[in-house]
Amino acid sequence: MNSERVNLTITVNGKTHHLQIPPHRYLAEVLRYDLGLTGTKVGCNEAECGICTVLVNGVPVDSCIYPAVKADGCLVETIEGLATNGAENGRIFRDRISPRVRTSYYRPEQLKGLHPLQAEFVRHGAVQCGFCIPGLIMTAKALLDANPQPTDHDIKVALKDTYCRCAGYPAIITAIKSAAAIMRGEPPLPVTIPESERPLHVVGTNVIRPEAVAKVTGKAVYTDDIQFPDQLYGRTLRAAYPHARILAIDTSQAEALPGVYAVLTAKDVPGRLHHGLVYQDWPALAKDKVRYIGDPVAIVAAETEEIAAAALDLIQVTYEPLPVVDSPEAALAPGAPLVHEEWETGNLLKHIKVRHGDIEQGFAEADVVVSRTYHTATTEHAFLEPECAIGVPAGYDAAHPRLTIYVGSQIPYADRNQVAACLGVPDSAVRIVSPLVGGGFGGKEDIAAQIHVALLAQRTGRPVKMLYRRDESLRFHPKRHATTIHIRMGAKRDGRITAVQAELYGDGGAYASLSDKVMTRATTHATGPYAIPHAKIDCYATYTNNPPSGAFRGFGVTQSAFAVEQTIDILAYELGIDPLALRRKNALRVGTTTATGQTLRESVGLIQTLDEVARRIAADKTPLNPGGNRVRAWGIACAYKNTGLGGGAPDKSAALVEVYPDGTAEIRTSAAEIGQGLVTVVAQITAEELGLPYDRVRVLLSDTDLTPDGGPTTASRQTYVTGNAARMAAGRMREMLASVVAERLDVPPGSIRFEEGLLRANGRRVAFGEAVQWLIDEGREPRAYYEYVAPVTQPLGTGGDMHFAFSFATQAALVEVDLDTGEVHVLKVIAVNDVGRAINPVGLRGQVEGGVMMGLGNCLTEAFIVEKGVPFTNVLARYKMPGIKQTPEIVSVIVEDPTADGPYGAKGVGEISSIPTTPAICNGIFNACGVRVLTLPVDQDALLRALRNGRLEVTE
Amino acid sequence: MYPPKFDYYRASSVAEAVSLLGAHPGAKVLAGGHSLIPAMNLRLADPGVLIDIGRIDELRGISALPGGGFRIGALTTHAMVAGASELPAVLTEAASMIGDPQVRNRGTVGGNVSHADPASDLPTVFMALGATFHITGPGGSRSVAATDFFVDLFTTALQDGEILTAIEVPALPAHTGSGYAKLFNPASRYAMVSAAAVVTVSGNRCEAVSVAVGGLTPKATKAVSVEAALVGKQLDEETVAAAATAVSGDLGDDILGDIHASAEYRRRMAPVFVKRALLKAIERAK
Ligand SMILES: Cc1cc2nc3c(=O)[nH]c(=O)nc-3n(C[C@H](O)[C@H](O)[C@H](O)COP(=O)(O)OP(=O)(O)OC[C@H]3O[C@@H](n4cnc5c(N)ncnc54)[C@H](O)[C@@H]3O)c2cc1C
Ligand code: FES
Ligand code: FES
Repeated sequence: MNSERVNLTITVNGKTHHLQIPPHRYLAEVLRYDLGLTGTKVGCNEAECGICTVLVNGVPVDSCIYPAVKADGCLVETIEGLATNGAENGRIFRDRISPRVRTSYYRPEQLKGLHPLQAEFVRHGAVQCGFCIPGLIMTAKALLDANPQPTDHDIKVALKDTYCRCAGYPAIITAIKSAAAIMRGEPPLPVTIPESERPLHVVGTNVIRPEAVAKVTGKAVYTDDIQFPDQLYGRTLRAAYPHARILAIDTSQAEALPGVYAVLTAKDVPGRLHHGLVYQDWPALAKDKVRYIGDPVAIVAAETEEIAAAALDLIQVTYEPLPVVDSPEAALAPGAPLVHEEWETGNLLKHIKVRHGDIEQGFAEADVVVSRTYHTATTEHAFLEPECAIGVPAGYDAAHPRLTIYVGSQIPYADRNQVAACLGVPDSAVRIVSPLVGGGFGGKEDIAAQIHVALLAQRTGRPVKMLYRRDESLRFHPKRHATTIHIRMGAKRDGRITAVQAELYGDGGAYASLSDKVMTRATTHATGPYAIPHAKIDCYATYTNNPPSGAFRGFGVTQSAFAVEQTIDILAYELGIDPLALRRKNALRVGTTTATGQTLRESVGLIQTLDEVARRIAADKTPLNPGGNRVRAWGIACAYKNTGLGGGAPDKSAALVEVYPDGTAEIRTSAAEIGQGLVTVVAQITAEELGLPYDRVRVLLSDTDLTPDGGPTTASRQTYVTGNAARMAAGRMREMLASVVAERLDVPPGSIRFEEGLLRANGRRVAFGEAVQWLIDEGREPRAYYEYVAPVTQPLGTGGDMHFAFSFATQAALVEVDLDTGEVHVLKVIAVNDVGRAINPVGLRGQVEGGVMMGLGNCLTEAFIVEKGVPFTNVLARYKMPGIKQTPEIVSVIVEDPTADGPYGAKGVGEISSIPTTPAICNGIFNACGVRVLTLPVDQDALLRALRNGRLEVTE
Repeated sequence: MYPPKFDYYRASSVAEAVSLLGAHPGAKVLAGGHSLIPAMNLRLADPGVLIDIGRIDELRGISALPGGGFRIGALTTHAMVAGASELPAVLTEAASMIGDPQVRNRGTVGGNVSHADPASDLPTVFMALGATFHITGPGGSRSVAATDFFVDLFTTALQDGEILTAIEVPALPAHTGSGYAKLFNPASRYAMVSAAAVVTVSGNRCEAVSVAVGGLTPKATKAVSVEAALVGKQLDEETVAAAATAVSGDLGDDILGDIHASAEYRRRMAPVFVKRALLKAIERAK
């Protein structure tokens, strides 16, 4: 069998295929690229994440490392084969990208014919970004085939290392148990997600995610699922050193390699070389020097990935290595080598200041002063879908008159601007289309391969795809800032906090990315959600030769909350006051002023969240004395987080609604659905406003030719800003329809009610579709557009309102410490969030569970380790994400203190749900074993050493 | 994703596998592929030629030996071992703690011990059980004791061109229990420290004991000092705990440490896990 190609006969979902493949082709590749069964996803190629699971002769295997030849003669089952309503079993590709296919649209009949696992994943809201779902369902299927009545424990064992980074593990467990019940002939488990306290017709009720069915059947289209028949494969040569001058690049040998179509370097960038969301300091291709190990030096397009990879090996780059700046301390040391020679303040990217009251006076008034220094680690988003982009050259075919980039993007319009600028063409020459996104969490805001595929497509005249492997993704994309935080806090005997002084040092890495904004948020939130009369906070964001740091769920507040919330507990301990009471005493409430000078006028639900947590802890029955050499305790922490960009940045979003004579509506906006549930939210709002049943509203997202700008998916802003845009656009449409109908029926427009797909007035009723027809008959466009502009905010330092809304939260974590090993387990988390209004309770629960799990990982295990600028964490196996086995019981409680301008009162939840978890766990560790952990992640080794040596703090 | 290129041969018998190995110097045996392929994808290995032994059925399965004990074919998967209740508990327990179901369904006992990753679970267990390893090569067949099979970090007694065909574990005497305890690596879930114990009790006295540790040493290591400290003693918790601390004397100087756990921490954890394994074994012996 020693040849270029070997014969393979496999039966996939009942259909037998005879193929000739290279011997080194893996089953996942055969399924995805040769058979077009793209429901099977690939996240790592290491047998680490489990999302590529398929069944071979009934047994679940990781298809990413399974040589396809091994399956010769075998029966393979994939996600596409599970549903009985027309299993998709054929080729994909271009036809899957028409706008109609990309609209999301839930119809109840879609659930018919699904496998019970698929249906129950949908019903119980276990589907978020969806990228992990096929693997989870296939793993669960093998479990249920063998064990029809699995316990929670059985499920946790079976799914142990099949990851979901959106981490809706509790919902996943419920869905599997419900499916098992159905398969045993019993009724399914009811959906028990609490709805809004004040539900409307659609808003605030539990509905099904429009794209969920596509996600559980494997039909959902992510970027790498699109394949053009004549596409080329792009690859990127990245820096050989974290910091070096480039003396010469010789691409001649690479260009001469047969099958190579283009080799491009910085000199081939026709327009602006640099990109960047805040400062344009990031070269699309490194020119004179490389500043981190992920810097792109050259890009290649070739007939196959292997040829492209071989071409990279032939590119000769001559470097002069420079000393590596590996930490903020090193960056700010006198005489430090400069990362950006031209930056005016050297390696200091920005000094951010908060000044409030008189800090001297504040400490003079204090009876007790405590101070500590905290360290947080660099962390990694580990979204399961690695970055992928496809560039299609202008004029490629009728569907692509413009240069088109397919990319799972968090900010489609910003991508368009940045691609156009680098190509030196007007914005109108570029189109960005976003297929579904397999998780982002902030890590897909910056440019990845967008510009590269554009350059290569234009150069070669052929579509070019770039798919990052996990190691490249880890090495390249911006992380969460590692920080050092010194904090000093003073209070009066009675517990009133008088002063907070803090200094933060943030490792911004090689390029600015969103460091300025992220570190600003860390700074402004460094007093915690408390009314502090005197504050002085200084933050130094620095350039280093580490991978850049940028946006990551929590956006800087994760770091400062870790420091503040533990310091509050330390203060409470010193004062002999209950930590919850101390928080309650100082909590922000209506009428108080934040450290940036913003007086809060409404929607401050912090105290309600505190009280709710207190009630739930008091009522909890979990024994606190586990026996053995283990100890248990609760810890609590609070947080607040702005909704929206704030700080004076104009914050707006546009949406367009179109209505049809068949009685349906479609809402369009370029706002990313990265798993958080925005599609559901805008569908609900549109249905609510137009009085339509939910299943009559389609959603089309993120196509810069077809959908207006919804702005970035960041700062927990989309439900608020784009939710409002959808609401206003639909409201406009409602007025248009009302006026037409009013005229025909001769009633005042105000008397018309929109209900259940009908317009009613004076006992008469007109079907929605008919009203649309009347509108069209009058020669009017059945479309309404609205650009929503959020309330104006003021920059930091002006003392004005920096933000238009804040969400608040309190969490309690029940923690167990093993005194023999130093291991820490979280048994239970009570998460109470003030979200203003729960529009989409199912999505909300997913955000809370996922947020808690991310916070838990941030606290206990996750660290992206970089040594002298070179990542040690170059594979997923070296990044410790919490899996289903570490999932505690999560109790999510919603507080609804509405904000006036939010849609139906809603504020953001995407980030707040993640922020208090880490300090709550750390406070729990202290309460359990008396050791305070000041450095993240919690190191069991260091914790144990502290315990044995009688030390009270872990500082390393 | 782009794997390194390799040529692929499927052997249908042990003899064919051995002759293919002989014909392709540098070729590697492919069993479950759960250590080899990830290593290849990460460019830590690039053998060029893979000899798939996955369909040699005679290498698969567990059988009882006429004189007591069991023969476990090299291709037997971790899942099969975990489900074989006739095997000593220490072995089924360790196998059930390997990776996740996908790994256990494909990964083989033979691959696991041949790879001899210091963080693997099974070498420690076979060491404690005093297993025998059966090897076939160009020069015929031979058998090697566990203490000789594991040579060093990723190194075994297997010579170029040889294949491990089976592992034999002896029958356990009456009133004998066995147990396995493992400190999981929080990222990979491999063992950072592991301990396997086999204890024969008579009344409450330790009649015989065998203990091995792994994860923190370059290869699975017999804890002879623990055994000496325990044999003949009354098996109360204090005595067991005291005996477990003797493991420090068996570990040698070369303790593995990495970013996940320092050598010092692992050293300190050894007695904790030896004690846990012993207590399980004693409990099961009763
Ligand atoms: C995500 C993940 C988690 C894991 N977790 C654990 C864990 O917790 N504990 C643990 O112990 N292991 C763990 N493993 C490793 C797993 O047990 C492997 O399956 C096993 O170590 C190798 O077995 P294999 O059959 O897959 O061997 P292969 O990968 O096919 O081969 C491994 C090596 O052994 C050689 N080889 C294989 N069979 C033979 C033979 N019969 N004769 C001679 N040489 C042979 C091969 O040439 C190769 O060099 C994990 C693996 C993965 C991917
Ligand atoms: S385990 Fe196969 S893709 Fe991650
Ligand atoms: S839904 Fe599981 S990774 Fe997003």
